[in-house]
Amino acid sequence: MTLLTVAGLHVRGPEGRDLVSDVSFTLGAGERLGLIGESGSGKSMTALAITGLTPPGLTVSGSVVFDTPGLDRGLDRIEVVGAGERRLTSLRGRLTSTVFQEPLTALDPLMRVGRQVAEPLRRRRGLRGRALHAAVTAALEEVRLADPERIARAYPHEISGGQRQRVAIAMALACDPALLIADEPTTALDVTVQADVLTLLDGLVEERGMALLFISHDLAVVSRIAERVIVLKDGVAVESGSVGEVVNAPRHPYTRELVGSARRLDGALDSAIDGAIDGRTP
Amino acid sequence: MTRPIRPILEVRGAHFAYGRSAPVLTDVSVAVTPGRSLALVGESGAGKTTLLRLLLGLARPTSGQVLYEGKELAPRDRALMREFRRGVQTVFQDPYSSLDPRQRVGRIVSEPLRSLGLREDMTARVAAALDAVGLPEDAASRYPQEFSGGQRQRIAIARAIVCEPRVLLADEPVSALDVSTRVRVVDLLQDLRETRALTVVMVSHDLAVVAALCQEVAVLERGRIVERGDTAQVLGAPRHPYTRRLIDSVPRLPPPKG
Repeated sequence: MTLLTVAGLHVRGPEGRDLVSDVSFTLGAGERLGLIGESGSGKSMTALAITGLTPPGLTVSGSVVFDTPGLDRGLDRIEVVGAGERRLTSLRGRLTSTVFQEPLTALDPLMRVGRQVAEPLRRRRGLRGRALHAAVTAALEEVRLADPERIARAYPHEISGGQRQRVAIAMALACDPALLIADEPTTALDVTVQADVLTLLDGLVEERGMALLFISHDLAVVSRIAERVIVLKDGVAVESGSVGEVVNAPRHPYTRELVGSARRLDGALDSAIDGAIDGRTP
Repeated sequence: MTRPIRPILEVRGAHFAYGRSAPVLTDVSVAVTPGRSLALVGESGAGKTTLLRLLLGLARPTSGQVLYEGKELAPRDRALMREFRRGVQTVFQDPYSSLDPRQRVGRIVSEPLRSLGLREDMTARVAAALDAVGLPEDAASRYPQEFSGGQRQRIAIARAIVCEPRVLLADEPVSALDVSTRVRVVDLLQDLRETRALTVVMVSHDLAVVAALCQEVAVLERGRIVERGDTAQVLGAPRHPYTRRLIDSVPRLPPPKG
C-alpha cells in the first residue's frame, strides 16, 4: 500500500532558483527509502517539503500526498502542499516526524530530557501524571538507553552525543508516525556510535512497521539501512533504484563517482587490513 | 617500538588535565618520525584533540614533555619556537569556521608567512601553495565564502603548507566533507606528503581515511594509548577490543556482484 506520493515537487528560492526540481517518488507503508546527495543537493529541502516545514520565503509546488485511511476524520488522502499550518500541526507527529543531524540543537538545552520526551506523549496520547512518567521511561527504554530514570532527569549537555540522538529518536517515535524521516541522523556521531544508532533505527522501524526516509551523503550508510535509493544532484533526482542496482550498476556519471569514491575508501581499508598497504589507495 | 630515525616531534609521558577536572591524557607518549604519517584514533572524549593541541604547542602538558627536533618546547626560547612554528602547521576540521570571511584568500594563505616574518616572495609563495592544492590562480583575490567546502579545505591546506612545514597536524581534516570531496582531499594530502616531504599527523575516526594516509596508528581510549603500531598491523590484527569495534563499525558498501 502506498503511504506517500510525491509528484512533481518543486521548491523555489526567493530569487526564483529551484532548490528541488521536479522530484517524484512513492513510498509504501513500512518501506525504507534512502535519499542521497551532497550538501546543497536538495535532500533536506525535500524532507522539509514533505513535512510542510519549508522555511518562509520558499515556494513549494507540486504535490505531497499521504494515504492514511482513517487517520484524520475519515479523510483518506492528505495533501501537504498548500495545507494550512493548523491542520499540519494537528497531523505532524502522527504522519511524520523527523530526527535531525545534530541532537544538541534539536533538543532544548534548558529543559530536562524527561520533560522533552513527555511533551509529545502528553499532547498525542493525553497522558498525565504517573502514566506519563511511565510512558517516558518506556520510551527511553525502547531506544535502549540504560538507566532511563537518570537520563530523564539529565539536561542534554549532561549526556553523550549518542545518548542525545537516542533521546531525539524516542521523541520522534512518541507519536507513532507512519513515516520516520531521519536527516543525516548519524553524521555527527563517532563511527562506533553510528553503528549502534543504525542498528537501533533498523530494529525500531522493523518492529513498528514504519516507513523510513533516510537522508545522508554517505552511500555506505544508506545502503546499510535502506532498500531503495534516490540520488539527488542540484535538486534533481538523477537516479533511483534498489540499493543493489545503484551500488552495482550505477548509470548516472554522478552516481558512478559516488560509488567509486565509496569503493576507494573501502579498498584503502581492505588493503590495510590485508596488510598490503603501500600508502596509496588502489 | 624504537626506530633509528630521530623523531621530528614527540610527546613523552604527557599528562594533561583541564583545571582540576579528571585527567584528559594519562602517560601518553607518541613520536612522529619523518616520512611516517601518524593517525590518532579514538572516540569523542578520548583525548585525541587535546593530544594534537599539545603537539601544536597550543597547550602544555601538566607533566611530561613535548619535543621538537629533540628539544623541549619552551615558550621563552624564541628561536626554537620560531623554528617550531615554521616546521609544524595545522588544518582544522571545519573549513567553514576556520577561514576569516572578511579576508581575501591571498591574505588568509599568506598569514603564516607574515607572522613568521617571511616577507620575501610572498605573492609567489602564495601562488605556489594555491597551485599545489589545485586552486586557480585568481583564487587569491576572492573571499572564502565564494568556495565550496572542499575548496575551502584546500585553502586551509594551502595556508598550512605555504611556509613549507615538515609536519602537518590535522584535526579530522575531511570529516566535514562529502564522500567524493573527501576522496579528492585525501588524494591531495597523499600528493603533498610525497612532493613536499610532509609528514601528516591526523586525528580521525574514519579508518578508511587513516588507511589511505597514515603508516602508523595510535589508538586512544579514555586518555591512554591502548594500541599503537604500523597501520597494516593494527588494522589487520587488532589486539585491543576497542580497535576491533572501530574496524567493525566502518560503514561499507555491499560487496560488488559478479
